[in-house]
Amino acid sequence: MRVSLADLSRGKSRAREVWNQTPVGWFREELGPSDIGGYPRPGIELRIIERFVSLSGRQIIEIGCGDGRLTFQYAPRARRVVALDANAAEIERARAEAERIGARNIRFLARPAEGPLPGAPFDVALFTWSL
Amino acid sequence: MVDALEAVRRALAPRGWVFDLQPDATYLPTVAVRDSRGRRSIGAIDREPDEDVIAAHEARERVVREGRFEQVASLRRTYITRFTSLSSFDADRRSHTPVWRLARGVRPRLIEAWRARRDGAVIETTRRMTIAVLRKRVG
Repeated sequence: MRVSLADLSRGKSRAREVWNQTPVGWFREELGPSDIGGYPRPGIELRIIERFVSLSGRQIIEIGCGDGRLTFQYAPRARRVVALDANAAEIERARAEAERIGARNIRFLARPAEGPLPGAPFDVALFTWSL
Repeated sequence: MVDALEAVRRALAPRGWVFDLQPDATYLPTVAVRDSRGRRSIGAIDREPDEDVIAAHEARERVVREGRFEQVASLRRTYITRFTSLSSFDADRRSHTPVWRLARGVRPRLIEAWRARRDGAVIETTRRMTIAVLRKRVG
């Protein structure tokens, strides 16, 4: 799929659609996800986190994963990931992307973080811009 | 968020890590236009305090104060986001609660700079986030 710059100029909603249809690698190379929203460029958050603890081989729970923007950055080296978001539509997008790229170690759940969390225990918990 | 932190505490292994990434509670983003000639600073964005952001920071401080977690570090980092059109910049600005408003005189300067842009121009916003690092207390 080829997406032009003009596609990206039609607002955040359209850009998010494009993002959801676009291979992550292409987007990173051509523009960077920071063109579509208020998040740091890929890698910035993980570099800070991994100053404290390596995520390799870890069991990780992520709260507020959205469409998996950050999840897909660290999941390849994690042992397993449980990623939650109360927004079911975002979780559906994340699941579709996980299916597309063959990510087998991520469990995306559409639910809030309160109450017993499945898959415990975890080594690391990430609250990613979750309010 | 206190409930979520408590649920996470119960699900964490002993001495498990928590990383809380949030927008900084109080800061003013700035806007600039960058093209092949360099970066032209345009001005500030009025960002009213976001009650949800403030509540998230307070919740984290509370669980630390109550002894449920130990705070290892609290960092602030500035980062830049880029937009390839005025409309995508405005769409992002309006997505915030409360909506980010441009300070007086910034809008005309931004439009003028954008009209005069060269190929490859982007609108940059400079933002600030906090990263709080906690560890589960044992015992």
